Amino acid sequence: MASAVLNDADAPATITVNPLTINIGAEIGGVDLRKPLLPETVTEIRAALLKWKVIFFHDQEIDHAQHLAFVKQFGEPTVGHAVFGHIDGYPEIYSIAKKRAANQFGAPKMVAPWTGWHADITSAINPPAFSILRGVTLPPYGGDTQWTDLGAAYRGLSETMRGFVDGLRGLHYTAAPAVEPGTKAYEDYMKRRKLVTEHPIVRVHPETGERALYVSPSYLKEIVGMTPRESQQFLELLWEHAVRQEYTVRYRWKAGDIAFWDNRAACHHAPTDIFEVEGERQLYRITLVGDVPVGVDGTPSKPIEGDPITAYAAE
Amino acid sequence: MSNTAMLHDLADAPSEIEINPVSIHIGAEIGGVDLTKPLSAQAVQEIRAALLKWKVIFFHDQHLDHEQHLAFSWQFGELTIGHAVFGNVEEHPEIYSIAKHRKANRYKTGEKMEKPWTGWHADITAAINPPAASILRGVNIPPYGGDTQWTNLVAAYNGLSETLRGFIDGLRGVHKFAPPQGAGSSEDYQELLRKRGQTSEHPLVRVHPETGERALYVSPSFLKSIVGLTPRESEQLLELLWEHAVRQDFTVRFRWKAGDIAFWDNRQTCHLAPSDIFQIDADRQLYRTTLVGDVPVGVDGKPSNSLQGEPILAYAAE
Repeated sequence: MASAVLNDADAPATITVNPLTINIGAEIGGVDLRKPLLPETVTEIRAALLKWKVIFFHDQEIDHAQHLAFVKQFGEPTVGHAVFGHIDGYPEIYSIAKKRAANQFGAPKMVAPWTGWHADITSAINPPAFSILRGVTLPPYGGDTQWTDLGAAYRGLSETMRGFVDGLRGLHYTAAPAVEPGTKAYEDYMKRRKLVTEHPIVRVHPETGERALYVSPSYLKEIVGMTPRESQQFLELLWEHAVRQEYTVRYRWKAGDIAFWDNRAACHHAPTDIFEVEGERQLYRITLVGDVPVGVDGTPSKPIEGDPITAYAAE
Repeated sequence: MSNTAMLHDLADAPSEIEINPVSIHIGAEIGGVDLTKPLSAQAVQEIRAALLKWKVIFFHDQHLDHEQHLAFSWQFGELTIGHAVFGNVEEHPEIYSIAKHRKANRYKTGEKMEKPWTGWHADITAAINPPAASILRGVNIPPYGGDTQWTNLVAAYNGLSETLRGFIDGLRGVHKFAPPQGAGSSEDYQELLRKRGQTSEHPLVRVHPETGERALYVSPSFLKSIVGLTPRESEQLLELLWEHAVRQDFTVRFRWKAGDIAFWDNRQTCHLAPSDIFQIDADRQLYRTTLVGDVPVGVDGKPSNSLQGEPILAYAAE
């Protein structure tokens, strides 16, 4: 795949694509996101996103309205966050502030290699298809975000294991880490919108057909049809595998940067080191409405509790 | 098969022996027999049935000598050489000495890695045809310490979820001799394995040749990898299965006295030799015979295949 890009047979005409690792992450250049994009550019950005799972734009100092206008070219925005709300005046924008509500359950005491990794809101029947995160106030160092390629992770399993997990399904729901009872504030949020969904462990991508190891460690709690201990051990096997270094990219933010990821084919990890320093950190995120995942056998996910995350305008 | 059925089922109660179960899933004491004498055909049949059902059976106050131990064992099958790799006692080729320090010269001094399943095994599952049963006789036993434990691999299989059973029904594993994790092996041990070592690929789920029961055929000391998985997948799945296989509810723990005999079905149990005895000075001496076993068969009917070494045949045939 990488050499195909290097050979540039299907090089994009209106943007530049600079891969950052073998499997995941590419910087996109040659575009000004303050202005409407050419249809051809939208197509090329989308193709780069599907291929590289997360793409990055630099020096794009856009405001909320421009952020919104940019992402609407790729789909319908959801409400800022289905559980944790949105910023004043912009119902589709979610504030990723250092001390946001979602972080109020405190640092988990048990930190495993996969702790904190997730795809956005996989507790919903239709998790967002894409997330577009814009960096505004960034510390001079610290606060890197990481992404992992769940397609590469799937292909990295043995054929024997792939054959097994192809037929499994998992239960995703929102909860504070088991080792740390949530604070009252967090519990209140949970009551406001509880989401529980059964998704396939292997998701077939609706646009590319690529199979992804659809594990989202923060939301996926159990494998259907296993004993609790079997489930825990199997999930740990899959999670440890999914976040192996070779499937990941680590991104160091600057103000004006934008990260745009395919939430159907990637998990990401928010930084925890920022809590060790005083520096402020502020980003804003918009997510685009996603579809219902489908497994290898064609069976879609099953809603257990909560409503789908629809476009903001529809609410 | 349930314990309740056993308690009330007078119809198939044995007529010549007494059976006292010692746990829900595994282990029964057998009374009413004198093993120094030949058994009636009926008694042999009843003992065999109790063994298949309870996986390990115990006899008390049977002070057998080597000849009587052999004579008792022969009534249940052909005997192998004492130990296919580690030899036998002088004058009695079918008897293996379970002496306290028998392993002293096998491994280097490195501290072995202790996990919940460390030391658990079925006898010689590195072989293409591991012994069908083992008969262990206690001669010199410390006043306390030195208990042996067994686990019921059929109960362990049944205790897995249907989902996981479905997966492992189709898997196979490689069994071979190797020092415990963390410990190196001596030159003598390596030389011994070069000459007489064995490696076999067995199904992870073995269908019992007499009862048809499915057993989780994992033998932690011998089973090294699952065929077709990556090394890390294999390690993690094995640890899941081993941890499960030795769960307390599938096991029995036996406190020995001189004159006791433990007779286990090596096709559907694992056992754990004691390690506490090395903390005291007292001696401990037992003797073991093993009955020739058949080649395991998986759920799909496919037998094990040998990767190295010879089958363990009856001694007389050698």
